Amino acid sequence: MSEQTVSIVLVEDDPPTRERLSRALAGEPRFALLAAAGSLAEARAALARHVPTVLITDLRLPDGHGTDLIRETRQATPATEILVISVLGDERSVVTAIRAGAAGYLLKDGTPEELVGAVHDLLAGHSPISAAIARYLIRRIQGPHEPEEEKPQLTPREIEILYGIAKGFTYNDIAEQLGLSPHTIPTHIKNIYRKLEVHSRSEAVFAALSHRLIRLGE
Amino acid sequence: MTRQPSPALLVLLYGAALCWAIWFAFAPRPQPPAPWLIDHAVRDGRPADLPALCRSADQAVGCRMTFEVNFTHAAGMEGPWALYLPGYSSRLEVRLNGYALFDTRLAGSPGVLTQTVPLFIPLPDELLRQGSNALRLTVATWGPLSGYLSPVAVGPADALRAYYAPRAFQFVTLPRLMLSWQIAFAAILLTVWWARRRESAYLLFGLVLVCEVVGQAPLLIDVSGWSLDQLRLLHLVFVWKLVLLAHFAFHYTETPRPRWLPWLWLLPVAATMAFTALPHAAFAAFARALVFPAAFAVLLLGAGVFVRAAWRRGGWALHGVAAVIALSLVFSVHDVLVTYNQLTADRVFLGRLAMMGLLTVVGLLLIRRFAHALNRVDRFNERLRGEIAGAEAALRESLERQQAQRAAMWVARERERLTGDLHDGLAGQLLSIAAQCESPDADLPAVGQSARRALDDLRLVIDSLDDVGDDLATMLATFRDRIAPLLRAHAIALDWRMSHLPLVPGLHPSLVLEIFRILQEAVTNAVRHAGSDRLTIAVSPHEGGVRVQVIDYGSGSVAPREGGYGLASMQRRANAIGARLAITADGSGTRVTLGLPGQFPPND
Repeated sequence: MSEQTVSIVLVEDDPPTRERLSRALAGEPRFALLAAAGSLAEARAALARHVPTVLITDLRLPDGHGTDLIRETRQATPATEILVISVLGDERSVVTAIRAGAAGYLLKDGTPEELVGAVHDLLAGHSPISAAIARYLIRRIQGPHEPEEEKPQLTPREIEILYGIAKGFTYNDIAEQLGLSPHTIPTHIKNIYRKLEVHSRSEAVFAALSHRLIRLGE
Repeated sequence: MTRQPSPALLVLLYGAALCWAIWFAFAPRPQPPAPWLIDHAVRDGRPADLPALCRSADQAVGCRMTFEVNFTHAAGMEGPWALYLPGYSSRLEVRLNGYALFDTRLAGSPGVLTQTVPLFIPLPDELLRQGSNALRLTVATWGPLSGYLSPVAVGPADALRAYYAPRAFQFVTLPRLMLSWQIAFAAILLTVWWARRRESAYLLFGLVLVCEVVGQAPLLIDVSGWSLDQLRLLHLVFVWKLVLLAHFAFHYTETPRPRWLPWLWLLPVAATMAFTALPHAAFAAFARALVFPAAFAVLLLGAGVFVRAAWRRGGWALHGVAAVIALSLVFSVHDVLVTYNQLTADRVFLGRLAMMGLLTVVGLLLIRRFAHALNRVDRFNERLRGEIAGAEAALRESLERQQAQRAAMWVARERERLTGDLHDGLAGQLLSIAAQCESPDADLPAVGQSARRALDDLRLVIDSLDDVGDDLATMLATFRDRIAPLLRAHAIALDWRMSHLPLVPGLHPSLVLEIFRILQEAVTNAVRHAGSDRLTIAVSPHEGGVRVQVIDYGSGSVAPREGGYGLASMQRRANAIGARLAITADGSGTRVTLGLPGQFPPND
């Protein structure tokens, strides 16, 4: 991990939570919080001024949806890593964000250490994944109602890993069963995330899908 | 049902049939004009008139009559000449000026029996003499048969053929055509019956046709060489035919059969036995006295059944048969008059034509009935298909309604359960938090802790709603994700040991929530009270079910702890879902063991 300063833009509409997250990030000496925005407009303004290393954003904002911000940022500054703030770590909002280009999520009520840890993991190339998210992805990949062209093209190994996670096996268990080194599992997960990301060529499809997902999540 | 013909049409039908029959039977048939038609002849040296009839005095010998007829021929006039005989029966021999011209024994003839048939012979120019010519006609019979010879016509062939052709068509060609048709139709009916034995009407009528064909065989084959016995057999077949026809009448019209009907078979059986047992003369007497009148009665019975059915039940088909029967009666009257020499002008027998016509009409009606039966089957199928489709639709609708009801019930039950959970759990916790905040000396960290507990419980409720099928492993994986932050926050290392688990049928959200709460309680207790830096959660198949163990390595005790949380509520929850809960503790730690059954009772 580089010893460089990690610049961060935080987008969260609830002031106490924004305050709390800001405090937690400020507690880490190598982090520099460039801006803490409370709305989509503020966030866009901040991102117009800065190119942060990490963008941390909530999904539901008073003047729009965080996925728009994520997509714009992925296009404008692909190097910026994006974390989504989730209240419950629920699979729908997280996967929606991943499809827009986020690489990870953190729980809103996590401890300051967890928050900082999540940012460091992300920069180290590790994406978090829960059993519920893995299960959700498997369902989407194998679901009969999903159009074939919208199914993520995962390798059999990646699907095996998702299965293992969904069934509650640890990374070590999964690595042992698949004959892999435990350290490679996070890399595989990161790859899965990248494959989930919808690129601009299928923007329209994604928009429809994300809207549907958002409606389902409401 | 059959459409009923209107009375006016019926009167028209019967009127037309009767009028035509009377006209056909009694109207004089066209005869060649006087110069050609010769009705005076010489028989055995004495003048005799034509037509003439001979009856055999001795049954064994037969009768014989010879006529000399003279006519004048002028050569070179009106083309070749011919002899035209409107009718003769039995054997016939014709000589012209001493030369043999025609002999049925050589040429064969359809008129060997009682039927009369026309004859047309071209007269060769070489044999004709200028002026007077002599024709010699000999009619000979054998056995009991009568011989007949009509007046003779001699004249230009072209003119005479115009008289011959329609007569030949009516009395030779048409009967032959109908007979051929009956042969084919008998084969069809018997085949139908063979494939479908229930249709005894088809068998009966098929046999009627077979009898008819056998009886009329002389129309198709030359029987002039047959013995008397063979010819009599043909008469016997006629008796069988009438009895069959009577039975058929009952079958076809669906008239209830009287109990005495089978006795009718006695008639042909007795006739056949008498034929084989009695001498010729005795049999002839027996037949005249008993068999023929009885056969005629049977014929009337069959006709009566048809006519009665026609008037009782109506329908074009039965009326058609009845009309043909009425027509046949007229023909029969004609034939009786001819037989008793009351109609000497033109000796033709129409009974055969009537019978053939009747059989043809009935045969056509049988075909029609067959087609109608097929139509009925089609309509029945159609209706059945419709009814099945209707029943299926009703069933599907009922099933859908049932499913919708069940789903609605399920949703209602889940809603009730969730509402209960939120009331008992979250609402109480929020109230408690509010109360803590409103207290003058609010302990903020304690408030935060309460809020987190409320949040944890809410997450469990939400997690429990995820549809995981019967997959306990997936559900426990979700639980691990939930407790991981808590353990990290307290710097407790989680030793998670998961095995491949069997599916647990009947695992539904309310059970999942209870399991979550039991495990959450166990983990919370370990975090708060054990003082251990390590927590093992081991999940494994055990005795057909699944065993979940939460093990800490601290100094906690099993005794109920302060704050109302505790073992009592865990035990209660475990009992409620049919699981076994065991908690053991010693100096080295506490072990909570939750034994889940291999399957839960279904939720509905």
